[in-house]
Amino acid sequence: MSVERAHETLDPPAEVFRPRAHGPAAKTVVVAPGRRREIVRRLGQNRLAVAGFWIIVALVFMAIIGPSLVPYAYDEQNLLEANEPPSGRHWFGTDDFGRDVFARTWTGARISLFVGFTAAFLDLVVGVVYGGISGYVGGTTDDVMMRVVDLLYGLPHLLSTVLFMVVLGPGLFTIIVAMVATGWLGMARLVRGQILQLKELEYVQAAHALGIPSRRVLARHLIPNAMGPILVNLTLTVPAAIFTEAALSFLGLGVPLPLASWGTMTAQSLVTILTGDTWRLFFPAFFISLTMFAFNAFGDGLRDALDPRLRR
Amino acid sequence: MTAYLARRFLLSLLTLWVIITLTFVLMHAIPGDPFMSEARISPQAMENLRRYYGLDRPLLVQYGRYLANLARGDLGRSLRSEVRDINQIIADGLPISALLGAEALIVAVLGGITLGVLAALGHNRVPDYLSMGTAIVGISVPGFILATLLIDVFAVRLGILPVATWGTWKHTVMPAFSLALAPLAYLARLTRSSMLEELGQDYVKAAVARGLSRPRVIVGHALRNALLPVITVLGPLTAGILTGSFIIEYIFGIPGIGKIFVLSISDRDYPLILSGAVVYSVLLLATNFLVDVAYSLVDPRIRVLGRAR
Repeated sequence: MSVERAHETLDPPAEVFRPRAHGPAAKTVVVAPGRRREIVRRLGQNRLAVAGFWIIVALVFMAIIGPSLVPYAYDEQNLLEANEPPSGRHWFGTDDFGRDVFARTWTGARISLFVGFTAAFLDLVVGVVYGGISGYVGGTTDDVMMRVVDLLYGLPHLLSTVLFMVVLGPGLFTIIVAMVATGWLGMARLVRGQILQLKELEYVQAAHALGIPSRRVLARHLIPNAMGPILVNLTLTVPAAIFTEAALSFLGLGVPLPLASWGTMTAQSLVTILTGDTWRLFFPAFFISLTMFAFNAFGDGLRDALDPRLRR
Repeated sequence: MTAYLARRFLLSLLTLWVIITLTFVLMHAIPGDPFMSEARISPQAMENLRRYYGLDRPLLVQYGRYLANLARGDLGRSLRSEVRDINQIIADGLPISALLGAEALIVAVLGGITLGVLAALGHNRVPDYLSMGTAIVGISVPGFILATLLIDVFAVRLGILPVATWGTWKHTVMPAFSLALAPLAYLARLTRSSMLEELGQDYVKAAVARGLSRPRVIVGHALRNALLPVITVLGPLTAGILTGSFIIEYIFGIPGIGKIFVLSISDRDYPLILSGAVVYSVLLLATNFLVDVAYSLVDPRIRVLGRAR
């Protein structure tokens, strides 16, 4: 609710066409391409956001090449080399089955990022279509569609995800399905709010007057102009999805073993608190936190860059 | 306002019904029935078990019965737990979870608002950086990671806080803090930006010009208004603490309803899962409703709008 509300108060891209009389936003009134450059410039001044961006790039890069940097597969067991601390042979050490933690960490990164991006993308698709139709058609259709969203919105996210996991059984794709099942609701609300604001603008009426079909107006004018807040929501959905996957896997409801997820790696490292091999806990804990930080920092920076009034 | 709240209340009831129905359907969509795995049961015993739990009836009858029992406040019987009566299981666990949740919520609200105000007052100076640093850590580090680190440091290495048992206030320190950190961080950031906005408003300047003392202006004027958005997020934050307790109670071995719920899932104890979902939904919907009430009491605009309707 809070996040949506914050987004709804974002500047509609309408400021491009309606110069404000006063205030700090006045000097940013430019045509669309220039505005885009302006946003990138503002984003570049936000050190946290820049750091977040490069960390995301590095994480994606390592997720792609990381597992192939070492001669061990993520599920390759070697009981003679169990629980070894980091060394030249095993850069991040080994776990209690002698599996290479470096290989497992970056396989875990693949899973986390895959879950994060896929869930965010599916939220986007469902949310944009649903919210777009609801906001654009309006009237009774909008009323009915939004009451449905209101009803489902009362469901706590983690609870419904857990219930879906119980029914669908463990697995990577069922996690994503379970998350998207309720995750699209926020996006649908956001898109609808944006469309409602945008469709009253003169250029949309002009497009209608020129006889451009509704679908084209929606796809070419309304959705692209609503993209700013949607993008922010998307960036912040990724860490939420990554967190949910890790939490579910931690509880044993997520990806099945021997697949390496940061959540299961943390759960399996719990015993090391007692045995003293706590470094095993370090790698999954550090990389989950780093990923969450990177996406949140970048998403926040993006939001601030899109709405100069929030920046001080 | 009454009309507005009545509508919200009806919507909550409707949502609850949808949740109950969906969960019921989901639980029965799982292939097989709960007794399939117990192979060494004679067909007659199996028949009796199924009859005892009403599983031999048509689904619609089971559903109707379930709703009727719920309306009477009867949550049914657990399949696996030693205490079979789910009402008893919930009654045992709920006070523990409620205590932990309330503690976490208080820590989060007081800590978050204090940090946020300090950050806004010391804008772009040390207090701001310190508070926002805390907020960044709070948003980046998931509760279950924080919990494990706390256990490692305070229970195992330093040995000053107990773990895996439940009893004194000392047992609540680490779980409550693990639960509170994320909402605390969120509240700190929200309070900061909303406070900064209010401090820049004309009425604050006017209050200063009228010669009011600084604390009076900050607390009596700016903070009062800055807290409006904070109240709106209390609903979702409480939801976060409630669902966060699944993991935290599981890690710390706290016998609250969060741990019961997680265990019921791995036990495939369907009646207990169903009841857990219902109990959590009621708690969350009640919280959201209370937040709506609080918000309409605090914000005169909603009062007026409600009347206009």
